[in-house]
Amino acid sequence: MVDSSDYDETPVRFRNLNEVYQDTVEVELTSDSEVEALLAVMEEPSCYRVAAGNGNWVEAMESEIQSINKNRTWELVELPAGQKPIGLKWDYKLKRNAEGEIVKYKARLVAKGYVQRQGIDYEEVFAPVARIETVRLILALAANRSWKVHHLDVKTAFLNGELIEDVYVSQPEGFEKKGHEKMVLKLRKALYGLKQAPRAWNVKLDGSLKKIGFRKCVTEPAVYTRGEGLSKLVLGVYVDDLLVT
Amino acid sequence: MTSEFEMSDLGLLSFYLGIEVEQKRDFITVKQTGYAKKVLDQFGMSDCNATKIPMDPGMKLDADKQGERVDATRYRRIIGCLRYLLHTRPDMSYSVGVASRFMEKPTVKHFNAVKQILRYLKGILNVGLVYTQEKKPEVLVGYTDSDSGGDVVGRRSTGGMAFYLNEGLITWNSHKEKTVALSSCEAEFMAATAAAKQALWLRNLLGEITGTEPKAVSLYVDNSSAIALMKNPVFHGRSKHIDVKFHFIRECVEREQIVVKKVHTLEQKADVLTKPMPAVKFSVMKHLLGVREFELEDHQA
Repeated sequence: MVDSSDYDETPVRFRNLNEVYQDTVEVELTSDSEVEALLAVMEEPSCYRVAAGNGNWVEAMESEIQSINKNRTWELVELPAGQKPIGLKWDYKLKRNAEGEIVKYKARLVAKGYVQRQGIDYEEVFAPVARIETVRLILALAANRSWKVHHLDVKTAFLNGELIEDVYVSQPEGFEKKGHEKMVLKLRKALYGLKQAPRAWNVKLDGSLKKIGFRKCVTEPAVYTRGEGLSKLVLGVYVDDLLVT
Repeated sequence: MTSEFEMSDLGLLSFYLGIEVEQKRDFITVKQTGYAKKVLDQFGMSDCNATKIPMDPGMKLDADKQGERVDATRYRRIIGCLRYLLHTRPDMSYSVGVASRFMEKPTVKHFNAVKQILRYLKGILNVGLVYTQEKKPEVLVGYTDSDSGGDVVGRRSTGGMAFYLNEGLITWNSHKEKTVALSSCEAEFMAATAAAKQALWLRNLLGEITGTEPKAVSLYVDNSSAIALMKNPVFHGRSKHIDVKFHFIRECVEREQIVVKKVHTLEQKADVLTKPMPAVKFSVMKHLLGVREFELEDHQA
């Protein structure tokens, strides 16, 4: 029987996976070239099972795991009683140039943040971004004073955010530690997909900016200033895009 | 900071949140031509016949209860795209604002209005705002205007405001007022109060960014009786019903944060944000507002 308290929150599934499979025509793949041809059509695989067969994607996933390890994002722990790990998912993106040729295979590990509940898994999620009016005001100001506006971008910004809450995630598909398959990962830093990731990143950025002498505006928390007169710096923040003038 | 995070310097700002920015020696331009083309493509309007105005002057859109319904999702999607375009296109602010009022149950009539906005967009793509170097200290100037009971559904008025840093248009808005105004004076009074809130915020923000003491913002209104009501807190039969919250602007004037000034209707820059206009007047007024057409670079190539 369905637990009535769960009923509203569980997403309704009209067909289960087996039913979907039953209706699907099975394709016989006899040679490797056919598999490759199929992959070429699909291009951006939707799940790990498909991507694992392609060297390019495997490479991309390894590079993502590397940058996560470099950030010391997580540690392997036993799951404490009463905790539920959040599932992880691989997300694949092809980067193309203007001619439509593939430039880069990009794999990103995302957490299934939609299972998180406020008050249990996270508290605050708000992160300020620059209002478009503010951006125009900065541009108008820059024009009048003939300042140049620079554009900075932070790579894998969300992976920098430090988590206040305890968050456990299951091990990423295809990269389980041998012999420790039952263990889970405790996060020190945020992952893409977590509800609190944008806020964690903003708190971290805020801290670093203040450390190097920037002052946050009271009227617009996404704008920072530093210095006076000719060496004046104004900085606008839009998640991982920074405007400096 | 580069040591703490992995960062990349993308050089001079040229493309930010879908907005194309061009920095020249003594001016900066912002536009969304690329996005506009994409929107037209997406909704199959790339080859439509262009129009000169986004909404006909006599147009009175109502709820159209008997009208034939159209796909609401598609309608909302188009409105969403158009609203994003408004970031550099205040000329469409009024028409998109009006069309947005019918997102709940759009009918063929509303859809045709939206199509006209797209056709207008098609005719005038390479448009945006310009910020120039004026070699003088920055001052904030605001304009506010209102129509009178233009909305046939609830008889509410549409207010508009536009704020400039020297000559450059930085923020504007076109909104249906929250309560019914009994006179044009009252409608203008309400629009000015909304503008006062924005003025105070801009004033503080500019003060904080530049590190100077905020100066008073000049607010231009074209209705003499509304101005009189703001400057002199008289209380009499014809204004006693005006909600207390709208008297906020009087306090701002008293504290000298805002200076209210009179402007002739023909020089009212916010006029185009409050009503549909015939083609000639529309093109004059949108230029007055600060919308600029750029030369097509393709022609030089």
